[in-house]
Amino acid sequence: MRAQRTHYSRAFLCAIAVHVLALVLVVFSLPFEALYKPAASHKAVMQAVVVDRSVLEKELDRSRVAGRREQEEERQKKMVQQRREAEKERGRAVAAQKQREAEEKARVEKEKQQASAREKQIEKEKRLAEQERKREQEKKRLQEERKRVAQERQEKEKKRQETQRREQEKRRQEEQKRKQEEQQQREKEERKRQQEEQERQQEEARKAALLTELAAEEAEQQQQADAEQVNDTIARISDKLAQYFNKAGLPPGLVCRFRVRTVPSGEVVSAQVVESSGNTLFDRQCEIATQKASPLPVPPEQRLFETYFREVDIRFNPWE
Amino acid sequence: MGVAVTPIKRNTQTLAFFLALLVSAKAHAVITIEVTKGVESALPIAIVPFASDTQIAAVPVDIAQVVSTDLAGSGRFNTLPSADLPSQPRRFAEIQFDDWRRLGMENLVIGTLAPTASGDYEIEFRVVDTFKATQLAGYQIVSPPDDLRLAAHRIADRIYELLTGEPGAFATRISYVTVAKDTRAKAVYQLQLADADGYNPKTLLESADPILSPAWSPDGRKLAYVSFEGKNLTVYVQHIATGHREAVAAGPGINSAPAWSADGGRLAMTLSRDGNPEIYVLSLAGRRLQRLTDDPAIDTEPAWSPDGRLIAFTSDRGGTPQVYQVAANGGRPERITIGMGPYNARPSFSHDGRLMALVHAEGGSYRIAVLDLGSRGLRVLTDSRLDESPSFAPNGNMIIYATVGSRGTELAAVSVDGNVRQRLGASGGEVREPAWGPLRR
Repeated sequence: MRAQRTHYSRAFLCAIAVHVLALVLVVFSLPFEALYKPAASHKAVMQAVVVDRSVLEKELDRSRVAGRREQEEERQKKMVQQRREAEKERGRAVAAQKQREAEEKARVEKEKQQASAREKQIEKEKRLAEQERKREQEKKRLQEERKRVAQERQEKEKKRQETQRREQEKRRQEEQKRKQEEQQQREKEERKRQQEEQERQQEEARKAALLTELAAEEAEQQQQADAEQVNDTIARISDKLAQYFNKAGLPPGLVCRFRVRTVPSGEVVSAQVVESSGNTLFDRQCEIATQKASPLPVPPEQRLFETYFREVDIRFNPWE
Repeated sequence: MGVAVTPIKRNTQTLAFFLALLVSAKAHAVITIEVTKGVESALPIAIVPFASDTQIAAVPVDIAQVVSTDLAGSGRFNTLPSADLPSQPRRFAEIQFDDWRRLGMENLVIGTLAPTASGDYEIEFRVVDTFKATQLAGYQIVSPPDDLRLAAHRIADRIYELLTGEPGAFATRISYVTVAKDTRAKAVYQLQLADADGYNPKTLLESADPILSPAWSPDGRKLAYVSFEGKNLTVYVQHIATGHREAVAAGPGINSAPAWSADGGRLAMTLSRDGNPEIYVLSLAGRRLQRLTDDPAIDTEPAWSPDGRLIAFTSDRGGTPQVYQVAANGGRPERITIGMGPYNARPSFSHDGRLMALVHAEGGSYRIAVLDLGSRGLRVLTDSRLDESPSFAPNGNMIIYATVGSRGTELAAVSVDGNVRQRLGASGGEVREPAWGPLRR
């Protein structure tokens, strides 16, 4: 969004820069034409007048200097000549005058023309300037117009973008809202599902707990029954062993332990000393008691026998 | 004597040990059954008659029977009567173990006997554990025919020691005094020496006057006794082997009740040389006499503790006869029998100093009792009317004493637990004051 706005403003600045450049070019190109052109034409008119007068004066000087003796003869001749000449001269003068006048007239005319031209030129220039100004104005106007248009366009674009942005925002928000709603819905559903699941699990757990409790109760009862039977059996085995355990004459304080293996009939099949008393006679009496007490009163129930009495330790400690 | 016991090689049955190794590991802990009680009963033992492999002339002594009687008399063994023997194996391989197990006979003795070229007998015997089917021990003895009883006692000693852990005292001797009437109805007193079971009596001294209080020297070579020869009570010390004797106390008045110190260097006696019967200690080497008691009452019957530090004696200084003890090097006597009735006399220490045998009167009857010196518990061992002169066997297991029986006064022995009492010997007439000799080396 920010990048986009930066892009727009760059384009806008470029547009302004182009217009400014164009305006500068216009302003600078106009004065060169306006200033130099009229000065050149005015100089050319003045030079034409000077050349004509010097030629005339030079001609007069040369006539006066031409020799005195011949002057009269010459003067007569000349006078005639001069007269002819003068006549001619006069003719020429008149012609010259006429020419001069014509020239003057031409000159004036020319000047007039020139002035007129200048006028016209000025007019033209004025017109041109005016035109230029107008053009400039027009250009400026156009520029402004363009600028305005551009601005308007920009504004519009901006507005459009804004609108678009708003719309997008709106759409986004709507989308978000929609998504949120969807999410909420989903979450709600999920919660509901979870709750249901939880309830289901709780129910199951409750049922399982109930079953476990029942089973535990049963197991406990079983275990208690087992424990009673096991303890009872242990007591009976201990009693039977005590009947056969002959401690006569043995030094006090001795203890030994046997690992005894039996078969379901209670018959002792092996008796291994696992903890000797250190006194071979004592150990031997313990082993003999184990053998003589065979068969041991093991429980008839196979399960109890296998679990507890297939292998037992017998600890002889008759000095407590 | 020429009867030596030597070990013979061990015999054993091969056992299937691998079966025991197949024990599988169980999930639960193995239950432990505590046995906190037991019985105190005699050890079952069967002694099979020792026979020869070949046909031989009748053997003068039934060795198995002597061994059996010895062991049974100790109170520690319950012997199987020969009539009840299920079989009579002579060798290990012949034993049917189940037969003996069924009878509860965990101990079985088998043996062979064979005459040697020199006229002796060679005896081999084995002690067998019938439940384990193993031989516990085996020995060989060579014995002259005249010593077969001694050989049997030695066998009994071996078995006793093997199965009880204590030395046997069967191959020991006793001394006692007999009183007989001669053809003119005059009393004849004899100092006798016999096997511990009363067999093979031998007369050491014969006298028309009373002979009293024989006492063994610790080395078993001498006897001290009191003789009333010449109408004077004199204490003699006599060498058993040579018969040579020496009066060690012959002062005026009473010279009586000799008792040897454990080192054999001193004799404690009752002398009245200073007017009243008192306890004295005589140093045999220097003939130095030390008086231990000084009381107007009668002090007599001294006995040494095995460690030689104490002398116990009987005194009526408290009004009735009771047992006192005093330090052997002098001191203040201290009464031992307190609250044990009106009459306790004739003390005698066991070999380990833990027990004291004495004569204890109860309701007019005089009985043999044992006082536990540690717990001060008194146990009466006999139940006759008149028992006297208790003397411990050197292993402390039995007490010999004189008792009044149907035929007069005779010798008897009781196990210290009081369980077994037996009459000794077959002599008629009157038998008095037995003394049990030391272990034979």
